[in-house]
Amino acid sequence: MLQNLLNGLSAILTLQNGLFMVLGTIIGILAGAIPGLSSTLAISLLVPITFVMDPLPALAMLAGIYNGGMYGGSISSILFNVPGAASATVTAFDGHPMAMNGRSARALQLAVLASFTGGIISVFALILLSAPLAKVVLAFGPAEYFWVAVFGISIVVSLSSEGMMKGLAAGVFGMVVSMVGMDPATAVPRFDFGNIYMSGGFQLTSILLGMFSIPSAISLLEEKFKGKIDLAEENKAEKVRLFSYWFRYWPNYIRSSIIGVIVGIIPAAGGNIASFVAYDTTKKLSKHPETFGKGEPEGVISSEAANNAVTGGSFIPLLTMGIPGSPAAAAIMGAFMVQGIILGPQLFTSNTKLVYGLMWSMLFTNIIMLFAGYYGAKVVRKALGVDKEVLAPLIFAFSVIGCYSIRNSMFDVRVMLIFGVIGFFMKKYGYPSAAFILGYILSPLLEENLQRVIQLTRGNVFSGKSGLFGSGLSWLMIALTVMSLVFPYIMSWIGKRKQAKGEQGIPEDD
Amino acid sequence: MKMKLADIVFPGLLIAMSVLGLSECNKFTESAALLPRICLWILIALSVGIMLKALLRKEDKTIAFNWGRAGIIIAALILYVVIIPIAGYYAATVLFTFALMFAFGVRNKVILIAVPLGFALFVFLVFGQLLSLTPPKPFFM
Repeated sequence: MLQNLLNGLSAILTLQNGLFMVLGTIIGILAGAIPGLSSTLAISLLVPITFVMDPLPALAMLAGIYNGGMYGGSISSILFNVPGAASATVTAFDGHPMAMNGRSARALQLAVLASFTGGIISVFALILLSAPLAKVVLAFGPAEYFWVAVFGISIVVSLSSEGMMKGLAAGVFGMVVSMVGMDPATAVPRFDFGNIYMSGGFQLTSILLGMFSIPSAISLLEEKFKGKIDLAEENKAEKVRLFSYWFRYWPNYIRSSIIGVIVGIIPAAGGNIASFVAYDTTKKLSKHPETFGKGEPEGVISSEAANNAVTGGSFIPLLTMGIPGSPAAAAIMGAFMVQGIILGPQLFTSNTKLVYGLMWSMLFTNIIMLFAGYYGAKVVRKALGVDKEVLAPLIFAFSVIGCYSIRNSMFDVRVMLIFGVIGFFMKKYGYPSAAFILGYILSPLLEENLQRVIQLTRGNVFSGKSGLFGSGLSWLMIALTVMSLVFPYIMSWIGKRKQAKGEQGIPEDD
Repeated sequence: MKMKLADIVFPGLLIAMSVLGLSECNKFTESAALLPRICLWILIALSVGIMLKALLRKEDKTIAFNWGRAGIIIAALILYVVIIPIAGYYAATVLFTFALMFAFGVRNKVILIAVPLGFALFVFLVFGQLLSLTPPKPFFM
């Protein structure tokens, strides 16, 4: 592994990669900070550009957006009490009261240091856990892969804030849309209605941009952002020393980061759940829990360390099994697909430089984020004043050129527009677009492996070693699927109990 | 629109789409039709479930939705995509961004002129020059 790490390091240390990591991190911070935008939107917009780039700089840039976006959400949370991303909701509990008391600079710096710590610890977890897990996944046959896909699709349940049925309906709708085009096993054209363009299926970028970028841009114009800066005069007498916080609160930084990593590995249990769990744990362990919610620095630290620790954790199922556990990870998976790279355990043997280079890029973009966040908070604060009426038309125009440039096809643009409108209404009425994307991406994996199992067992899929229930690994995946279906109910039950005690619930993830 | 109504209309559309899909499945081979059929039946079952849940729900909430603004945006987007092959990407984009900003209340002349032109220049430099990608050209070129 050490040799692979060194190979990855030598691959990532080029001027070009460095520039793209800086660019990606800055874009991510801005996208995360501006309410209405998100790192998922920024990644989706840039996926088409990565088509003409080398894989490593492209993925390093997207990793920077993911990391930067997670931190960026805290900025508007602290300054406006409007979370730029759902994962930063908990940050507002104490971050905004701090800002209202003239301590916004301190709150922002606590947030960036916590995000940095969480991110770095999650990268170490990614490095240590992903290679051993990939070795386990190498033993998977068609039946196990079928269950991996079912497990991935079961994640959609936890992505809906409006209930399990809407999440599942969105996911199955995505699966049906992915079936337009050739059947993967027999190459029979399906649902093309005689249209030559549809016989090849839809481009993933059209669907990604349609589901993530167009609905967000329509919402920017349709609903007016009501946030306003209404802060107390900054207390300039309070000296801010970045790393002094770390030595004072280090147990909280470490504990919350570990919570974030663990939650991140569980697909779909994203940054919002991690920050909520870490915040709650810190409050329970605190000697003065009554100060939480009134500007307690430890509240900001626990929330931000946990939500950024999710990033590395969520890369583990993505790289080893090809399961995008979060909307941002699904968008990054789109970049892998655009490059023609197949995710899964083989990646760790066939493309080691890329995998380990990507891990290094996660580490470096966290360092870039620390400096950009520390020194650039004032610039970001100004960028938050950009008019949504100016921003939204540019997002539309950028989506169009990005979508067109993959195949020089206006058909792809029309598909993006249709799914953009569908995605807008889905978003409005509680059908999570992330669930649709997961269904769309995982359906071919599920179908191909189901067809293989049918061929291997000669139609008798329920018996024999090659059957759907023939191995321990299959049962492990079935158990994980059941857990993923039950998990949201447990979280909802815990949330309701907390609400009954006067606490706040968990919003839908970004 | 009320959530209850939306929870009847949207699943209704999904059911209609699923029925159409199921009739299309009859044209495929058995193996090619297997998963689509399973998915479409699941989709019908889920849609019926969402509808029933909505009908049995006593309380209702209104989803904030500005139909006028949403209609303008969607119409502008359709028009934009129609105009691109005729006028070309650059001209259509300058026109679209200018018109949409103006329609949504931007009156600063510098922003109205500089933003569309600046964006077109940015696309020309990044896509046209740096990445060697060709945006859609007008029909006469």
